[in-house]
Amino acid sequence: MKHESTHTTNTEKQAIVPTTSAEVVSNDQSLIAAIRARTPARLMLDRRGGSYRTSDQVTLRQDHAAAIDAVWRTFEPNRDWGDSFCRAWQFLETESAAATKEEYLRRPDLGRIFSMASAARIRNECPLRADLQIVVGDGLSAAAAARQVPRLVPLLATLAHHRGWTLGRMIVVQH
Amino acid sequence: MTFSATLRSQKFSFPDLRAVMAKANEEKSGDMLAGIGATSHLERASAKTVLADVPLSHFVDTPLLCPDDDNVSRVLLDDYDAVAFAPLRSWTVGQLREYLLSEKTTATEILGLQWALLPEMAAAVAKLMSNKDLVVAASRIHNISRCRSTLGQPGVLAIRIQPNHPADDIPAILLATVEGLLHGCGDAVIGVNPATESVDTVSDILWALDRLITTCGIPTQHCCLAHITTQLKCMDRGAPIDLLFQSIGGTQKTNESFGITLGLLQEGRERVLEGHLKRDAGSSGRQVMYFETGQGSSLSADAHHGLDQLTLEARAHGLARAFDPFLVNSVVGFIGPEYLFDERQIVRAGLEDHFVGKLLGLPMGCDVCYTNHAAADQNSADNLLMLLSAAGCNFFMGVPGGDDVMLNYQTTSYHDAIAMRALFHLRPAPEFENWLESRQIMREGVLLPQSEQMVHRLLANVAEKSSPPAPL
Repeated sequence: MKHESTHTTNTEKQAIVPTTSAEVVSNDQSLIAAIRARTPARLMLDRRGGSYRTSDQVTLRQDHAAAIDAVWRTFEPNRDWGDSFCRAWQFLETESAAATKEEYLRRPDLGRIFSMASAARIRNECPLRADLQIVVGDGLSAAAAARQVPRLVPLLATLAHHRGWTLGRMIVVQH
Repeated sequence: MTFSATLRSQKFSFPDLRAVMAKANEEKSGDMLAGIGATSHLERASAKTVLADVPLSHFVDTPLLCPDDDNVSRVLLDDYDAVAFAPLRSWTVGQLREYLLSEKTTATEILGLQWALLPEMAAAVAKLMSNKDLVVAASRIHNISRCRSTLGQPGVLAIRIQPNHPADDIPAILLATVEGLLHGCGDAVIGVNPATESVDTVSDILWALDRLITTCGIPTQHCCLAHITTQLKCMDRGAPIDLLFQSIGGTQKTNESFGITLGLLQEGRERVLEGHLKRDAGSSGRQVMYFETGQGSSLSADAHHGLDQLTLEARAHGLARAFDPFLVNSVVGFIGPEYLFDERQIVRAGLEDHFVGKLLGLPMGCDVCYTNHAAADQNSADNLLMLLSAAGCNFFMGVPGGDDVMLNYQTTSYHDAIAMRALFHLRPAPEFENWLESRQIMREGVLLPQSEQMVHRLLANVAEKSSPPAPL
């Protein structure tokens, strides 16, 4: 391992432990492994030229594919949350002023307001002046709404109950 | 002056130059969001036709944004070289385009033009250029900048190591940095985007990077990309600042939304220059600022004044050059699809920003990137990376696997740096390459095989000692 024995400056030599013994090599590995365990960064991917190994290349594409699918997935409460959750919560399904996912991505300002029809339904079908109003949007990850809401919403409702807060009718917004 | 053109027996009229500029832009979702973009292809083509015949004098005589209302306009008009501009007064935007592309024009002549041009002129000429034009014209302009390393020479491609961590974990930041160094990256800067704005955390990061650079004698510079006020507070406490970072925009209101004033930038630059002298930072240059820009930031801050996003980006570049920066980069795909919708728009904007910055004299780099909700993927980034390498871009980002786990977006990787240097016969900054050779990381531009022991050797004396020295 000639890289280990040459080209260190004097200052560096004072601080560096020799790296030739088996013991130190094993410490190297445990130090690096310990640091790697502390970070989600994709450290130390091997290379072939200026490219990733095929397994890493495919993994990167998988992860990005999942992220894109989460953005573009259509949110369907019955499928994503199950019938019993939907029956229990009796939420109101609404739409933002963005008609499609693409319009929502191009016009986030439309995604911040309700469509006229949805606004009217909210006025008619939801109790006003609740202390806590839960609104679920599919936003940039329908997958996150699918996964998090069934756990989060009951917790929020319980906490609101303990504090004596009134809870509005949950509103679900597409786009 | 009236602005109209008749194309295929259809007449297009534009109320003012601002409208011509906006509608002459290649399609950007941000200009549509602002309600100022062309609504048909023919309208876009007619705006380009009109713009080609606008004399450059018009940009000086009738500023797009009045300097009484906006201090960026004031800086731009105060800074440009009116004497050098005088011979160009009667030139049209179309003539400027041809001059920049002609083989009869020398690189020296183009360099001599830089301070004669207002940013709005640079934006205007970019609107008349094809993607190929933007690459070819930029490739002839070499803006060299110096701190501990020298960037921007022909044949040099530098890389910023961007070793971010979602919780600012110092050993993890250092390991990612060392990995970058072993890939020949880090000659532009080792620059961390902190997850928090805490003065303690930012100081810790600065000390850790400083320790690594000092102990290993690396001819590069560090930066922690917190808000400028946070960095200056760290400096008050004695933390070392090599490069002072700030995001800037093309209007006063945009900069106010970033929480900065021109006075603050000036004061910060002077303090960092003083700091360099005091700590003998081994700087061979006087360039200590690092700016980031990107199309769409003014609209995002509701501060665009009806100007299109390319013109505003050019104005941000004009502001940057007033502070003699070491690095400037456009974070081109970061802002999201409401400003740059897809690969086509991101690629176009990246080429525009690079060209405009180079024409105005900036040491221009690019964060070739995309977010997961843009219609782009790694192939899009590969494409822009190759085009900008051909255009002579000063530097790119280097992130492990191209995946920034703190900012949650995709950018370019250490691997990409190796590929671009090989493909375009480019080398690291010369001082840095000498260091790589001395550490047996690179020989004659080719990386040598690595081992975990090499990682350890670089890490060993910094991992446990990166806290600041005890106060006296």
